[in-house]
Amino acid sequence: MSTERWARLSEWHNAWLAADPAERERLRASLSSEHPDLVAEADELASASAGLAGFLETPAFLLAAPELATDPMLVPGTMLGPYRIAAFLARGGTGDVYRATDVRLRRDVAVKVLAPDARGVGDPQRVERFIREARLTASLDHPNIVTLYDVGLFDGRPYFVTELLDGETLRARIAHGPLTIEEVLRIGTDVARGLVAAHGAGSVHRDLKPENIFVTRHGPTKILDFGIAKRGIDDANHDGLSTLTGIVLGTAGYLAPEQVRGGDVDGRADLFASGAILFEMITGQRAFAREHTVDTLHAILHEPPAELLEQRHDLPPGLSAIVRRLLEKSPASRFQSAADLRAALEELATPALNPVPASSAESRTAMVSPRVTFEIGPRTEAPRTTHLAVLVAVILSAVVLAAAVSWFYRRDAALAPMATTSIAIVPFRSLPDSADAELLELGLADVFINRLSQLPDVRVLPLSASERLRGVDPREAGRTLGVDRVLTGTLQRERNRVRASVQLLSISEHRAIWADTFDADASSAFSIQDAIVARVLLEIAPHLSANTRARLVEPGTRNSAAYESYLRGRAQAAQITGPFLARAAESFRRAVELDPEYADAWAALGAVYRRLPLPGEVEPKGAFTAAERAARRALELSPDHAEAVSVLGTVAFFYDWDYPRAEELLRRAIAWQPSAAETHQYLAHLLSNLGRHDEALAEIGQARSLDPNLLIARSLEGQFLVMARRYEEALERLNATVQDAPRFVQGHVMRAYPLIALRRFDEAVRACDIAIELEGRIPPVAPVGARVFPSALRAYALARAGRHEEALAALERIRRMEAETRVRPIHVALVLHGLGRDTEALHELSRAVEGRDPVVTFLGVDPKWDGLRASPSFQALLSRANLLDVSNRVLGDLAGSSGR
Amino acid sequence: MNRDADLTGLLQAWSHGDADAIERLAPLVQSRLREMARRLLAGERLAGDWQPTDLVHELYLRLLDWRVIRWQNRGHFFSTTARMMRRVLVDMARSRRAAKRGLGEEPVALDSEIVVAPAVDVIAVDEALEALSRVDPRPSQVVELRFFGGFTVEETAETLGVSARTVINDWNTARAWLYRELSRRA
Repeated sequence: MSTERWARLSEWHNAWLAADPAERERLRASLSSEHPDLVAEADELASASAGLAGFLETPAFLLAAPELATDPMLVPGTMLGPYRIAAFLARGGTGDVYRATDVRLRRDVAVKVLAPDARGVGDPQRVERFIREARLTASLDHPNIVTLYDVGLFDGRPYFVTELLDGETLRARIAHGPLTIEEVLRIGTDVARGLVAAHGAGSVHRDLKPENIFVTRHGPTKILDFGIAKRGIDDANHDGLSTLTGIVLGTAGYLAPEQVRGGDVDGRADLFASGAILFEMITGQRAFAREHTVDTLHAILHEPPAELLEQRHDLPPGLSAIVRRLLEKSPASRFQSAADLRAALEELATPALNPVPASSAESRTAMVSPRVTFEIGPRTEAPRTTHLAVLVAVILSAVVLAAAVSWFYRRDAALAPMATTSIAIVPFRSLPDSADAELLELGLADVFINRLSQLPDVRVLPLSASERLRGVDPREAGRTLGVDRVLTGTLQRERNRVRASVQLLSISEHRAIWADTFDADASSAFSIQDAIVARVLLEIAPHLSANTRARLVEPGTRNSAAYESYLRGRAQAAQITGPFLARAAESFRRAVELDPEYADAWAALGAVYRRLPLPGEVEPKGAFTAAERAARRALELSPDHAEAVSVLGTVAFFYDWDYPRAEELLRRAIAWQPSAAETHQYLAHLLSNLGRHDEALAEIGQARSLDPNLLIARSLEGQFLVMARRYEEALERLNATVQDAPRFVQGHVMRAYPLIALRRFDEAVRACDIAIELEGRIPPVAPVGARVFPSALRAYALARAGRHEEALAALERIRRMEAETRVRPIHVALVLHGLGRDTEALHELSRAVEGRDPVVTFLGVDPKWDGLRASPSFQALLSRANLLDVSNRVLGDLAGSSGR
Repeated sequence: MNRDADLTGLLQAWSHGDADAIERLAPLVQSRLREMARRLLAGERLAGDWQPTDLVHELYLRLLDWRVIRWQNRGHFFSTTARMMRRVLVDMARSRRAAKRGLGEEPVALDSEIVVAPAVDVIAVDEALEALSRVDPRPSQVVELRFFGGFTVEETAETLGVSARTVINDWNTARAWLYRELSRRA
């Protein structure tokens, strides 16, 4: 086969794709007469194209992503400096461990590469600190501490090179079955020796636990991860933030009481951990095992450990006394140094002094009390995360808001009238990270935003900004966004218990303004919440009315399932595209089903409904009336609900075409909720469509100041400039927008507006092509209806360029799209008007007015319709849309400017 | 930053005919792709909005340091990158297949809103593409750029010095052609 053959085949195939059935018959007939040799293959391709949906449309990397994500990060053969990776050994909490060869020395080593972590790794300063600390540890040269050979950076991630050990972690050893007393003493003594050396060098481990102790097959036991494991805490301390954040989960059972309290820690904390480890080696059970982390922490602080002798009858009394002394709550009551512990253990291990009856290891194992049970390893039943996230959310929405509000107002009262404060909410991180919690985390962030945006004098960044901050260092985020305050925190859950650590950071002052930790369990979430709210409210300045306060802190429902649905819906609604909107509506509907008195959910449902008809796929009537009904229901339940009023304003604007009322409602909504970006956008739209261009631009400026990167606001700004007939400026802004966000479909579509107005039709066609191409590449996310518009705009530009045949063909294609989606008469009208077929255009327009298409509200100012402004039929339609005055003003201006 | 200069230098060396450079380049790229994939699946939104093409562009932004490169032109960069991605992704698929042979492991389901697509055997596509390139090199380059490189029609057209229309035509026909090839093999 040749290139020529391909060209012919491809040409025919594409013609066939674009053809209707009758045409296809004809194409096939002409092919068999002209190129009979191609027919067989052409038929095959034609039938293959029927099953093609989506084939190769998704880039290969994205297809491979799920598998890539579970692979070990490095493949054998990869060089990290002089180390060649040989095999993947294990995956730990902080990174993957590999066997590798040092090619210079030809010796085998272990390499641990830190897992990518958006919060830590990647920040060069932090990486550097990390490495400095590790280098310090490398100076610890002791047989009971794993030898750190080297530290390096691979591809921006730190890695640690240690001696390669043969054996297993103590965690694995304990899981395999009971340890003999001899083993316990040997391992315990080895650990104590390692600690003596480390403490002597001024290094405290702080996270000693069975996972960090390695029992080699033939040699001594070694302590791992000195100076590595606990950087997280130190960083937190260093920066003056919450002390407990991040350390509780998982390792809580080995923390010393002074660590739990967040006080000063010295080597005696490692001795406490040694006690807990000895306890576990002896009994197979954790010393302070409780079902929930918070209970474990409580036990560490206040409860004595279980009596060892009751658990194991072969225990030398001396060992039991050692463990008891190590587990003393007060550091002063423990051994005062690792050397003392080592001496005590060595003494016990000396056979002559060992009071245990001499019997074989086997028989001693057999003497283990039957009451000893081994509950080690992962718990089988995973907690239901969503439910817990809701619980956290319930508490936080009350506590955090109350606290934040109280802070704002205390400041307000204490100082001179406060300048506008700006705040960003960084979505709370869940520990451990789980992808399924993301929706709820975003939903939660949006709830904060929604509530806080009701505060006067406070600029709250919308969710679009917050969403980008997931996993970003909060201070970095604050600087990037130019806000003064960042609200952030972490959520930890275990079974049906949650702990929320919350911080309000001041970016300029480099400090946490306040940080607090809140605990709750599932059964009492709402009552605990009430108690905390009551306490926090006491601090709130008296000038905040009881009503305002109540609105800010109330979760709005007492039904946690309804609240969950609501949070989910908010996260879904924050996405800009169709399927998400439908899902958001579904979530809100479920929320109001579960709790019909839930005003927030009703308002949110209305807010989703009002957006549905805008892309054009949904009939305006059903959606807007449903939106209005939902909003009215919300207002019955909560008479000053800003979001509900905003919905009513939008309906008055786009559906009732009652503009004065729409403006009044939207302005009222903004007064109640000054930082509601979406409402600012709708108001700006209204003002633009009424020809009040400067006001519109100021209003969209407000939305942009809330989130400078909000793409939709940038494209709207371009649109409003076009309506104001400031085409060059509009083009400039939109060029910048698509340059910054080349995949932003709306930006390209909007670019065609000024290009058409400037009679640069070919460029306009190209801009539409790009938009269509982009839309076509994302079939799963773009509503089909939204794709009609760029096509119509393109056809219109073609018509205006005088390329009538192409325009007609395009119009045909648009009409054919009716098979899969709703084609709006107003879009057909636009193309017809471009072709000069105004009678037909007016007919389509009257259908649009009949169907109350929201796009009709643009007719008053849109330059594309200038040619019809003088037409009586067009004016009749405008007056039905209450836009005749607006249009006549435009007409007057046009006459004025052309007369000049 | 150093990490990018390294990778970028290797890519450039490779594009200028240094065949060994890919051997050192591939592990770096693989590690970076795995990292990206983890972030992606952990639900981390990459910057900006989040359509597949954005993700791919974001990937290259993270992968390469554009500033240190002096490419002959954008097209040269696109074609080299697409070729590299093809090579690396197919290699990874091969070694994964070898590792999994006999284990009967199920691929992890992609629980993500970002990617909704039928499973595609990358190795088979690579082989079929090889066959297509013998028919006519251009459509196979179009597929390499679009599927492996993740580039848009515009970018592909720019790279190959043809019109967007030609790219779309080739793309339509090549997809049907490859689909037929894969169905024949299956």
